[in-house]
Amino acid sequence: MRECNKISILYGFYVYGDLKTEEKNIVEEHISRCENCALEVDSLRGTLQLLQLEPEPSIPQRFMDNFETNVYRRIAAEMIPNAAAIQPTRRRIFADFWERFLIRPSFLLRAASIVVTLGVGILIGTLEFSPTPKIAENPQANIISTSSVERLEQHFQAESYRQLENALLTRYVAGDELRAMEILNRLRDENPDQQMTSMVAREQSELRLKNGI
Amino acid sequence: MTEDEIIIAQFREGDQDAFSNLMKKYKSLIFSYVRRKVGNDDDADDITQEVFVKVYKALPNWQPRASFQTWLYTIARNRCIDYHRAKARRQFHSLDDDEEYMPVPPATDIYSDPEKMAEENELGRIISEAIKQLSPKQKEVFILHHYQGLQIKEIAAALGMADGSVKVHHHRAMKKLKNILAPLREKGQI
Ligand SMILES: [Zn+2]
Repeated sequence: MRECNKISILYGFYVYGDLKTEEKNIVEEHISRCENCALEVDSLRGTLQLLQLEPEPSIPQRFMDNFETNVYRRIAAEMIPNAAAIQPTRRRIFADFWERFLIRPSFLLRAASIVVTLGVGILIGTLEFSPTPKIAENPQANIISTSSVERLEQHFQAESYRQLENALLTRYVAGDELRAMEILNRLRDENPDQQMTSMVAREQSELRLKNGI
Repeated sequence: MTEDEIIIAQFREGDQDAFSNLMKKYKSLIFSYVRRKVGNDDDADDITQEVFVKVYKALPNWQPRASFQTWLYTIARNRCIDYHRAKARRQFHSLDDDEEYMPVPPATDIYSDPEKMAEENELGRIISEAIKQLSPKQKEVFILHHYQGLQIKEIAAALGMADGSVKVHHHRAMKKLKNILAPLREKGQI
């Protein structure tokens, strides 16, 4: 029975024919001498046949026809304003802080905000020395003078940088540690390059340190 | 180097057509995955575009940890999570009833027999209702495997899970579907 339980997790993939030969042989050897499991595999096979009768809805042609154009349009719309947006974003973050700080009624919360503000101040301070994206004073001149690949990289870095800030704000302002970790994990998963991996790792270890994890 | 990695290398050398080729290759696959998770064509189109915008921006720095396709699913899945989160905020309801999937009726010219069409729509409805009863992880594994054709290792990479967990979630999903759909099988439909 214990053997049945162990092998049964393979039955689903087995009826699809998606097991490696070695695992497939294990299943076949077992069901050749275990009637219960043979019955189970039979009914899973029936279930699969039923599932395969479901019609796959077609994709409306209008979406597929304009798809590439729409994507390029969005890329163009996003790239130009974002290069210049970093400094204002940073200013807005601090403005947000004071707003939140002043409207909170309870003293305790204010005290907490002070601690939090100091914490973020320190963290953002350390970010100053992190490899931050290099953005020219005049974004238009910048766009004309650099190649498209460099521009892409700058944009990419700028966006990642904002997401990092977002993670810090989520942790320290919203107080949502899990969500902050989720943002950092996502940054790492979606940007599997070395620089991002190490930046995220550093912030994650800061978060863990701050929380004594 | 895989075929995708060659196309990506071409893109990095400044070949814009290479990116168009990636979109052509994967757009319908990602579209149908996203549609299954968000339940309508318009949002699926919007999110699928977003996925490729993200890919375009991240690609200059992309280093293969898993396959390109697996990475695409990771990004698409995250965008779907954002979508449901924003929707939940708007509607003040919990994330539990996310991923509602209403099958889109098939184009009528393919199914000219109205009776047959009604029957197949009914089956589609029953199956999507059954899939809704799976846990989020079971559903995710099942969709990536059954509808998207990903293999155990690819699913594990896309979801950040061990191979063993993929097998367990898949097994539970299949078992649950078997039980939910049992009355249909017994009625002699199959
Ligand atoms: Zn057995």
